[in-house]
Amino acid sequence: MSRYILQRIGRGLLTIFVSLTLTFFIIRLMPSNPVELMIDPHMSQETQDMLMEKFGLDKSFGEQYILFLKGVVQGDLGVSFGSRANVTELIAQKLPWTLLLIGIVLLLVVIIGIPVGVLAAKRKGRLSDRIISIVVTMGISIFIPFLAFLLLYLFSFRLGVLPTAGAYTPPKGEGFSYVLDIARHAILPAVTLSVMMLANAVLYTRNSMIDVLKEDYIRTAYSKGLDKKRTLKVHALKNALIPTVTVIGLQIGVMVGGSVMTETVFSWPGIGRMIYDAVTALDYPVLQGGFLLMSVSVVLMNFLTDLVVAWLDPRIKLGGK
Amino acid sequence: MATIVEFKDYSMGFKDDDGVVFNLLDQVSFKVEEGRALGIVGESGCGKSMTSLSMMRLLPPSAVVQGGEILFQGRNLLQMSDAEMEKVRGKDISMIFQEPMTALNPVLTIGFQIGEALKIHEPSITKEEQQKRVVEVLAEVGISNPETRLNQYPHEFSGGMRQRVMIAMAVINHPILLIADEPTTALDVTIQAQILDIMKKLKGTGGLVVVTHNLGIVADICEEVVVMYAGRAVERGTLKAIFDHPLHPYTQGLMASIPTTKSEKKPLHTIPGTVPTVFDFKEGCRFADRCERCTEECRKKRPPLKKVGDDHLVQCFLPFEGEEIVHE
Amino acid sequence: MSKEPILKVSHLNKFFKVKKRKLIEEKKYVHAVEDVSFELYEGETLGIVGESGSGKSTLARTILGLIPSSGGTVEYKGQNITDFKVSNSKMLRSELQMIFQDPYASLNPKMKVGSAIAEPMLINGQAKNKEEARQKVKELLQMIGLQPEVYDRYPHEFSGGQRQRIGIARALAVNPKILFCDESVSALDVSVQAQILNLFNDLKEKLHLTYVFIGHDLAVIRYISDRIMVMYLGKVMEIAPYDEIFDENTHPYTQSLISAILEPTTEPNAERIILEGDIPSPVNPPKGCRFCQRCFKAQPKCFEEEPELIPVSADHQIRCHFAKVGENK
Repeated sequence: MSRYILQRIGRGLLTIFVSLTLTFFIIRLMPSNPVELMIDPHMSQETQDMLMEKFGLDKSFGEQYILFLKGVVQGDLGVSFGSRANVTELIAQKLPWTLLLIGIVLLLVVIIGIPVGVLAAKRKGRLSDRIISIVVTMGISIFIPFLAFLLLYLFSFRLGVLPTAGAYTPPKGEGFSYVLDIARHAILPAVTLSVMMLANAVLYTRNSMIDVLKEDYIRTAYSKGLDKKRTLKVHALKNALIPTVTVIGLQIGVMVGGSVMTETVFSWPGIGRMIYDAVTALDYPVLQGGFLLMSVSVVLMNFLTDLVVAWLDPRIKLGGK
Repeated sequence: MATIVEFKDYSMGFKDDDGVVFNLLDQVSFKVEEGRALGIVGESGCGKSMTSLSMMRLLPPSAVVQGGEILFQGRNLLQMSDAEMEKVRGKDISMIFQEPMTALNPVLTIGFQIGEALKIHEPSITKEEQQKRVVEVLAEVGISNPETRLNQYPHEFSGGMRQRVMIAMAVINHPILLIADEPTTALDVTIQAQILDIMKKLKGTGGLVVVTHNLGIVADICEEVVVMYAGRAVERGTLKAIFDHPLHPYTQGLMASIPTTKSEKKPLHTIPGTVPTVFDFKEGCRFADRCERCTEECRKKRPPLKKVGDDHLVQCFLPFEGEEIVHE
Repeated sequence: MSKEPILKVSHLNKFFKVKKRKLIEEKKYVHAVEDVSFELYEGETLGIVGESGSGKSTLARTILGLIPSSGGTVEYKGQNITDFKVSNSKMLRSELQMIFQDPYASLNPKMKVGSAIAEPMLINGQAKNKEEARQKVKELLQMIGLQPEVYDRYPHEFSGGQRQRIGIARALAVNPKILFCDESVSALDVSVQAQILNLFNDLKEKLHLTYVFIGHDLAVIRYISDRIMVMYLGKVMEIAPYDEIFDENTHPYTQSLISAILEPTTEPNAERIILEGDIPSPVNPPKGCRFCQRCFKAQPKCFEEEPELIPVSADHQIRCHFAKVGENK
């Protein structure tokens, strides 16, 4: 087991290293330059050179790369070109907001997505299943930014019941009213983010549940005298959850950095928004930090997913024995 | 001798997507007596598995019961509510399935799966008592180290061992009727011998139904036989009557086409043609197309059920000595 | 039966590597086929029986070059054809054909059965053009007991027995000399099995074929074979003429296989030999005799020393320490 964990960590680190290297060079190959974006065209050549030197951009790619790697190892991701803030601190500040959204999404998947998927499988072919299937198909195919704007328009502008932007109404409040305020702000982004996740959870749970219900061991369970409810709960669900967990786990990993669109539309102060801002400003250090976080979270979620699947399915032996 | 289960003119079929019903089992009648083992034999598609699943009321969703009764200790199983049926299943009637590889739940320990059969019918049982009974039944079916084995999962068992687990699960409540559907078909020859040995030892006061395509298994373990062909019970009687004096042309043909260890090296007897499927069934005798002694009459209507001797029934138009028509 | 073997298998081995799960671990092999030698004579049927893990199917596949061997040689008509490495092997290869248990799995569901049978003819040059192939396929279909009209039908339109006939036609398309039948009648209904067994015997006579017939049902194997080879965990335990296999002087494993045959009669069976335990894994075959752990005759010697295949009479060999030499007829 410990050997397995070591192997996994090794492979994870390699993955992160490769993705870091790729992003480092790709963002530098973009046909623009941060200094050009932030400086006044009338600025003198000397000032420009000074800025370039200050950002370390006067050095060769190779040198920059070595310095960057050194920083990463020491936990120093550099300083933002724009706000001059320490990138590590910046991420530490933004990450909780993104994790909050993900937490809500996961909760919804567990309390809504999986039960609805089970229900649809139980009523396969009947009206309720068909309605669920239509809604799920819509959920999967909808263009997320469009949905975000639609919700924003409906609930914030037309009805005016929910706030339009941010995570809380400044100034920062205290106690229960603060929590309530955040919750009100989180509703729209969380709903937007949940749509696809929920649709996937329902779809995968339904389909694998239908397959599992055809298995011989379900018939065996009935033959022992079990009723439908117990058969579904004890014998079918654990088997049916394996594909759902795999898919949701991987998607959550991507979501840490991937909810750029949603966070931007709702001005949610999370990682997605941070990456969006960094892209427009070509803020290399922040971009690198964002992508590093993304690859770490994907690797981490992969590992966690494997652990959960192995716990569900005893046939899977982690690392073999 | 009390009757445990009796099929009375039981008919069932399948509904296709357009709602058209195709009849499979057609007026099947037979009974299982206390302490006796009945073999239901037939080839693929003859309806032998549907017959056994009918007793468990575990037919696939597309199945339709078309008539008749299945009496279990005098009570019609077909009229029981789902809740009543759940009390019967696994307690009074248990079943062993063909595929030991897929019939056990891969994510639950075998101790849990066997114990569950006990707990569901005896909710007040203590954990210790449950464990004790599971260990006992595992030992009874020849699984060594039952105390450690019960914490293992099905994939840690070989095919033969899994079938033992299935048997343990089916007999833990000492059912009145035990049904075994092709219990050894998926197993190796020497393992099959082990499983049949266990089944013979477990044959107690209750009834046993063995569903199989293998006449050798029937000869080995059963006292009574029902021969099924294309959804009809074409011949039934004691093992001796059926095997030593088969009357129906199908039974005769089947017996003659099996190579035995004493077969001569000359061409085997064959039944021409192939086994019909539920979509090809015709009005008259369903064996008519393959029968060498088929007449015009055979193709027109259902053959009568005749009693020939004390313990032998056959559904055929052919004349038999001392026959007595039971019903047309 | 001529005395010159048409096929000679000498010390054939096939090991499969077991995937290593840890970095530092001894390499492990599945001993699927180990040191198998036998001769096949023209016009005979050799039956091979064994249970799962006996290596009977792997042996056939290795002989046919479908999988590479791990040692030993295969000679066909005096030529070394091991793994079909020699240049003229393509022609020779077509003379050895295999028929599987489930012919449906090896037929392309979207291809007409006639074209499926014609295909190997065209590739191997048994027919020069499509017209000729069509004609030959129709003759073949008739020979195996199907109407020539079925040429234009698709595999799913046939029953199990008919599909097996098509599988046979396909193997026959390239004029083979030896047919390897791997559990070719096991999945069939009893009434259809008899038809196919008769067909095999008819074809053998008509086309002067030689068969290697692999199965697990000893009654069927006995009926179809002239000689029977019994395999257990990758090794040959016994080779004997079909009638000698039921004699007293046979391998204990053969005896338990025979004892496990379920005859469809009401005659009382002899006391059945019930073997203890499961078939061991071919990854860790037992030291000494392969069968020692389950053998009812095993002595301490059997766990230490592996017996050789001992000839007990002209064409009867047994791998057992207790085989009696010269006592058979």
